[in-house]
Amino acid sequence: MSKGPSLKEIFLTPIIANNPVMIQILGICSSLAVTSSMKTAFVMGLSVTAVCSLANLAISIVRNYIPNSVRIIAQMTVIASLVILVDQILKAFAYDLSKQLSVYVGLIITNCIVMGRTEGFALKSAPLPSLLDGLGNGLGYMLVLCVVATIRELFGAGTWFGMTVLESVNNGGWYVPCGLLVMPPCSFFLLGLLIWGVKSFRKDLQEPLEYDTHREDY
Amino acid sequence: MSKLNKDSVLGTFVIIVTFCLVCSVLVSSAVVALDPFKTAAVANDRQVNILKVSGFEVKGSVAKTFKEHIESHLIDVETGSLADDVVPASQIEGYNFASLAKKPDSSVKIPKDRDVAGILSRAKYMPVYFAKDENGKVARVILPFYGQALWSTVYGYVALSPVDANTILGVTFYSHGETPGLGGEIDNPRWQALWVDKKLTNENGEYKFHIVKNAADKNHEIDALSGATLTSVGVDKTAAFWLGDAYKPFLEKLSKGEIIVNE
Repeated sequence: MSKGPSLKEIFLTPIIANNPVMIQILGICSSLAVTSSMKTAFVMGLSVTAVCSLANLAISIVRNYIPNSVRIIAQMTVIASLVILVDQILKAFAYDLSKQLSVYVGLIITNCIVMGRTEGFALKSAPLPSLLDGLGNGLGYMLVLCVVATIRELFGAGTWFGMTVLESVNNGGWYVPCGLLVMPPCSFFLLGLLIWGVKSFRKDLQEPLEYDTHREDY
Repeated sequence: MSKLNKDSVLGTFVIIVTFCLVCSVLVSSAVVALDPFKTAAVANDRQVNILKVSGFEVKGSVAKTFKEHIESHLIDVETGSLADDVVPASQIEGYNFASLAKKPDSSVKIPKDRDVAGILSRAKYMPVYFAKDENGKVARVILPFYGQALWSTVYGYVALSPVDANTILGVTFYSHGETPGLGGEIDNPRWQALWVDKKLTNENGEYKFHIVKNAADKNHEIDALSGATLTSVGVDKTAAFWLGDAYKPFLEKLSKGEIIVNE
């Protein structure tokens, strides 16, 4: 790569401007499942960041040896191994959280962001930019998860990271938690609003219309 | 040796085999290396939950407090007698009744009309925990129980008074997948506190403990969780199955003083 983006750009673009969840709409499934509380969202974000950056680094190091015809399989092998590692570490040192995250840690294997970055970036870039790209994308994912989880946990349960912020009625306080927010569909709404917000704020991120309703033949 | 062409059939084969070998060695060594930590984490989790309903505060380490106050035994659910000799003593505390309930030779099918908790089969033996005070006197008897709620199987421990084997002294749930904020409120200590001092049966020995809307019977009923009717019903039936049916022989023997644990 002669004149690509600088390392700083590689790291920073995926956090907002090309956020994998908000702009590329990848990895939605897991972001919906684990965002009902901040703790799970945060740990899930960390796990994806770790897997994404390490997978990128590993793939980038061996990129010249991976046979083209089976490159997807090779990437899967690396990603799957890393995910098992992360899962085992969580089970050993954060047992309570790993119980709450249950299958979703294992499902990082199928998270499109990780695979997308190894295939789209690490396979043709040097190790350092790949590592930064993986970190950036993982942190971008984590950012969205944490924003959604903050709203859901704060207004759905009255807590943040398990700490009481709005004393809920169930605990003898005044706040009546919004039941809808703790249900999975709610993260769809929040994510939609988030994407709308970001794209209204940053006009340059809006996509051109795919059709023109003023056209004669429409 | 000339350079191996990575895209040839042989090259592809060699590289992928190497890849897989490296990855599998990494994964398996990590699993083996982390195993003691995982076992410890599981044991710690169980001990924390049992101590929660034991009425004893954790002083120093969890494992130390557990050893001081909790004695683990195995009971034959059918007869209600102690059955400590079924497995080696070291396996009693962590007796994995949930997975053994699925194996034909260590489990009993529950007849459909009795299976209100929706668990199909139960292990032949269940662990029970005796919480003892400083003088070795049994203060609480802790029983594991589990059953189907709305989304998931709910697992918990209930502590009963050893005096009448009928008064609930504490309850906790250690694993469930109910909706946070709604059914997940079974974890709420304020709701769990409602269980305390409720009696399982009335004077005639009929099982009366229930989780209902607008609890009227102050001795036997507690209020269901608002917004979580199905979870409440599931927990109610789980309690009914274990405390009103499966554990009945054991509780009868316990109240008659026939269960004697060595000091």
